[in-house]
Amino acid sequence: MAEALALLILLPFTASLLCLLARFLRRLLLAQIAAAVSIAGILLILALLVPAVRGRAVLSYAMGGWAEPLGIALYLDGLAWIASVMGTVVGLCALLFAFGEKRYRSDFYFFFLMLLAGMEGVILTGDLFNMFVFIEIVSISSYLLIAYSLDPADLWASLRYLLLSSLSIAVFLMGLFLVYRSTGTFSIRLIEASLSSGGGSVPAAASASAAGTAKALGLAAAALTVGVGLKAAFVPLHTWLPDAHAAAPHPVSALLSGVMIKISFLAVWRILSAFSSTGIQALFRWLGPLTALLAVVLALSQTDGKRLLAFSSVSQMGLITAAFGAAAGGEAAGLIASLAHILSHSLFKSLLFLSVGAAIHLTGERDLQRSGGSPPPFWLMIFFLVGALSISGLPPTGGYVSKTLVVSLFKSSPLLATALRLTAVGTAASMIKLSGMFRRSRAASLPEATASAAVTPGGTAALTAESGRPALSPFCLIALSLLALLCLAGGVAPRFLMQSLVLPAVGAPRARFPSVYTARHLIESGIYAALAVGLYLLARTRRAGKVLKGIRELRLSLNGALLLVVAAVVVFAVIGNMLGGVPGGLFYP
Amino acid sequence: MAAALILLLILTGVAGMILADNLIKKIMSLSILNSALVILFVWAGSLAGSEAPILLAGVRDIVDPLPQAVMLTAIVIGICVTAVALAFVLRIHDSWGTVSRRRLEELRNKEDG
Repeated sequence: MAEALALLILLPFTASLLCLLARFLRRLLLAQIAAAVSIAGILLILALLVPAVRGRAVLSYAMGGWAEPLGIALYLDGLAWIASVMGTVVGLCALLFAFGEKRYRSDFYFFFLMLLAGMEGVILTGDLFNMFVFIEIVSISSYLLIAYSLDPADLWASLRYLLLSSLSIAVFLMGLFLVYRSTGTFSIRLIEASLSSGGGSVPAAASASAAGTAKALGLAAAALTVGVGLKAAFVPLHTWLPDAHAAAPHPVSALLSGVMIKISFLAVWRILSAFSSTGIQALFRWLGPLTALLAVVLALSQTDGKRLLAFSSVSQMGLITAAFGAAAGGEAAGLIASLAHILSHSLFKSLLFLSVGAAIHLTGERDLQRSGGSPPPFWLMIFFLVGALSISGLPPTGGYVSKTLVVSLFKSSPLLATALRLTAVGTAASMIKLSGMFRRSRAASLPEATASAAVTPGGTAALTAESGRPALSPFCLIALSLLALLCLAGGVAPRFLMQSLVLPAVGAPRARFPSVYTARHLIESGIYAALAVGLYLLARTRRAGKVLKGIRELRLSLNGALLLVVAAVVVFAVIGNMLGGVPGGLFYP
Repeated sequence: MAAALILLLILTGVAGMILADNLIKKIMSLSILNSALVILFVWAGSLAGSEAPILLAGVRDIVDPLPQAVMLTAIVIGICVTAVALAFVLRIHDSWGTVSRRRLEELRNKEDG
């Protein structure tokens, strides 16, 4: 059974080689079949592994028969299982959408599968150096996918991302060096074991003095967090994301925004919990709401539909990291909320990216200031609405459940709670703005975005393309419907899904799951929706338009962004360790 | 001494990435940074002994083989990233006729505004 873990990574890798072969044979169908079969295979394996994960066993497999610390081991626990399922389901929908768009060659599927295999590897690996390798596989395939159009602006966005990501991964390697010098191993499990036994159990640690080791580990935790954290895109490491995610082809945007940034964040999660670095975790409690609020203002100011969505991804990562930071004291509620929001965001953000992508595909217009002349067919709006309701935290969607969980973590600190509530209002307002892509005229009255909550996708089978317009293939419809149904399922059966998926994954199967459909929460979200309409109307006024244009034109230079990476290492090392530190780490009492 | 030189190389790489205006120079700085990290790992591994880790009879006091082994992978990855970056710069130069970071950002902003 444990061999299946290696298969989860090898399957997409093998299929990607077939895609490369298909490129040379000029057989696109071969590439498409290879991609579809490998993803179906991963889903099948994950389904077969359910009983093992249910029993709360941690499956492990030593690659090549070499046990740790010499070899590399793969681990599958509840968290890795649910992250794999998330990645594969969103990957499947993105793949179907790519089939439907019919404009990608075999090499697209090659990089697409490499990206999936790399993400699978980051989730499963139990070795920090191996994690570096898989992160780089993810990175290189994403650079090439982002620049797939070869449009110079897209190439520039991808190159900026490449330089920032390479600098951050160099920081990661420096962190790895410190880890290896202090503990003598790259294995996450062995590092965790050596730290909890007070260090010194691993031979190499004996040579270094205890104080030196502690300092080095505090610094290493900060370096590793920044190294992977750049891809998780929290402030101040978010600067690459809007350009890169807006430049990518639509299915890739969905995969990058929906899954890749969360996988990177889960890597941060694993590293910090192995180092039990509660100080850096506590820093996220402040950094999260700051990220959320800052990015939502930027999102509201955008006029490009995909850039708006990309900024809102940064903002939602703020919520995820805030909830993770709130768990620094050790309570499970923060982790539960964080994972719930990771899952629901992966669904609704990829749904939003794909529905906006479909609208761009149909109308050829991605600028909100120019769209509205010839809107896409009405049924596309339904998919968008499900995603928009979910991201705005309105019932009956998964987003409502997870956002309520996140906000209710901050009862004790009004300042942070206010930041998160303002984010919710701003997000809803930006979604009303984005709905301009699906409406006839932007001068028309407000959409019923907040009122028609109970719309379900249906009656979309009998669609025909209007004459002279590109049609949307059934593959795209299947992808959109699947994501929309999953978004709604999260809102309809929250208790069941939380108890069977989320609670076991964070290692708290018996944690009490608070009821989210209470009158208070419902009224609260109604108030947010009303405020959002007000905010949207305010943002449309001439004066606000000038302010938003000013915000939009604030662009950080590449050099500034690179400097921020270095600054982030210093901030995480100093403040993170002041707040708590690795046991026996820098500044640790 | 070795440690100071490696630190100097790392700082050169980071400073070059942040300060250089020419994109080719930024990528060269990235290569310097990557090489410096490779030297760092190999140097640290070499402190453990004095012989190459080829386990024949009579070979004792070997250096730590793990850093060397993992750095092979890091070198390969570094080359891949450099190749991709240079290919992107070439394409950007073909379309916009410049490799200056400042010039490119001006062009981009003009296009958007």
